[in-house]
Amino acid sequence: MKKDEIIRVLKIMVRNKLSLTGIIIIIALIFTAIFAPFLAPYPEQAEGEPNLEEKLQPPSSTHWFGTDYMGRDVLSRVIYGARISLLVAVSVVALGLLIGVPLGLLAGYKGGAVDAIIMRTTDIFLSFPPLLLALLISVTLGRGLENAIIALGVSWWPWYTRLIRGMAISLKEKPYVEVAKSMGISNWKIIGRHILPNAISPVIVQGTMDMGSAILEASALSFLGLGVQPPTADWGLMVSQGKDYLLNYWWYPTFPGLAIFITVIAFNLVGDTLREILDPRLRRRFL
Amino acid sequence: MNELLSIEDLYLNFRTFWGMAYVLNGIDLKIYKDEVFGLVGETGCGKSVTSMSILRLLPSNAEVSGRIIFEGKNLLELSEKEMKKIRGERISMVFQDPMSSLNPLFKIKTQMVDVIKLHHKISKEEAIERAIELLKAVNLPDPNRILESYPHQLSGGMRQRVMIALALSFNPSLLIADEPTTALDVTIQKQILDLILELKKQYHFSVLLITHDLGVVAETCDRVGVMYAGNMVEIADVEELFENPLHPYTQGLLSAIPDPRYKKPLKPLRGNVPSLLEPPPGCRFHPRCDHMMPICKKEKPKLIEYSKNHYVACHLYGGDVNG
Repeated sequence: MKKDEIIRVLKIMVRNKLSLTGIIIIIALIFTAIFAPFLAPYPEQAEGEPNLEEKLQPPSSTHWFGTDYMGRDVLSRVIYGARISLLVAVSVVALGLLIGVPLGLLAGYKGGAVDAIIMRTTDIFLSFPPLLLALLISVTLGRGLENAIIALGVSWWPWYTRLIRGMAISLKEKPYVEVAKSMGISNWKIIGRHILPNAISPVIVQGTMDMGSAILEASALSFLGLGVQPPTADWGLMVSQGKDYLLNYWWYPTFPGLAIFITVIAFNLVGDTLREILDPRLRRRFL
Repeated sequence: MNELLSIEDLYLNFRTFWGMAYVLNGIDLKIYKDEVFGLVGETGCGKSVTSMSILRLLPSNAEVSGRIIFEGKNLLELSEKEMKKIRGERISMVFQDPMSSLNPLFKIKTQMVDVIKLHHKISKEEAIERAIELLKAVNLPDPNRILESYPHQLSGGMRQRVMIALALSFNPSLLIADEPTTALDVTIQKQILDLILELKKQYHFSVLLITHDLGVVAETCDRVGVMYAGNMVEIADVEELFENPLHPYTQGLLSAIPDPRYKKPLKPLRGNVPSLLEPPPGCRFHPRCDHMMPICKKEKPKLIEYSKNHYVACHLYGGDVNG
């Protein structure tokens, strides 16, 4: 895409109320993540310092989102959690796409033995419950955020491979692919020019939706003692820890949960609009 | 006349789930320089796969044998790399459905520049200039606006013109047009066919026009080949074929054209097209033929030159051979 087209796409995205909402939320999140130390009222508590005199306080003017079981300010921890969550969301999906998309293109376009090998491999991966597989890889690699990201990305790619393969199979029968072949265009160029761009839209939508799930799964790993380690502030970890306190201290799991919810919605809004703009046939709805 | 393309004894089978499909049953065909050769026949008779065999764009379950000699080389023996040079550069193709022959996601400019830069080592600016020239050559008004358009912003006729422009980008010596006007309405059909003929004069290429429309054949072709169920049954100059059809199938085809001058009922061919999984032995037309002889069930008739430049494959005209 050319520079002027990117600008035009951005203009349409900003003019559309839904995608504008999504964009504003995501920009706010990124801003929050970068300037967390300046925004959080109690940065030292966000990094884990306990404050046991004030544990499980309801929301008040000093602690807007209340405090957790160690007395730490939930607002500060939610603000710091944006860092981890964004990092996890983006890197897990990126890793999954990086592995899954090329394999899917290859399987769908080449067919035959290549297809069989790649698809049977995805079957093996998909036959594990996703969390279990991530758990297995995570245990093998050891604790820590990076390993959790790798584990999730590696257990995530088969979904994209399947999606892209299906698209590639139907697209390679399209007349314009036939035309390209009849003009002597190489297979790589056909994949890059005709198959990938036409197949990528559903993957973009799937990817944006997966960002939310990636945050949730990463938090599940954290909850089980792999992935993010306490006392690091992580939304998922906070929800997991807070769920036991839900009935009496509703604010503890609610605010981090709300943060996840809003983040997922924002990615979906942007992804959906993006999909429609990327397809020139749907574009006129926005003009 | 100089021979440009010569197909000799081309057999093509497809391995399918239901067994082997015997699609082409020994096709012989010559195309000379600067001529328009029409290939007619009903759906499924093997017209399109013949053209796909020339470009070697058959699916992987196809088995081909025979010879396709083009400019002195047997295309069936070339490496894939040599074949890529032939495609687009020496032989171009215009397809049936202009509505989906262009990638919907990219501007005409991107797609044309891609193709033009493929075989010519030139800058993008030069490629755009060449694209504008080509669009002018196919009589598209305002080429700059066309270049900036997406395919869905153009009409079917305009898209087919763009496809023709693309096909011409390397001065091919053979243009294969596979039902180029079937998806277009009648007035546009005429324009596109006239355009192909006009460009042919200008650029000196031969045309292999695949169609099932005998009206189109009469209008545009120099010579015609009639196909039936994977066999070439008759080849003749266009006037000769319409005035003096020899093969019973060609006669049947011609008598099935409605004539608006007389209100006589049409004479359809009886029976159905045979399944290519189990084609009839001998002459594949014999179950539907009114002149069927015992030999037709046993022996496949050869394509012979019955009169000058008029070839026919039918035992009715091979009188000297075994009666």
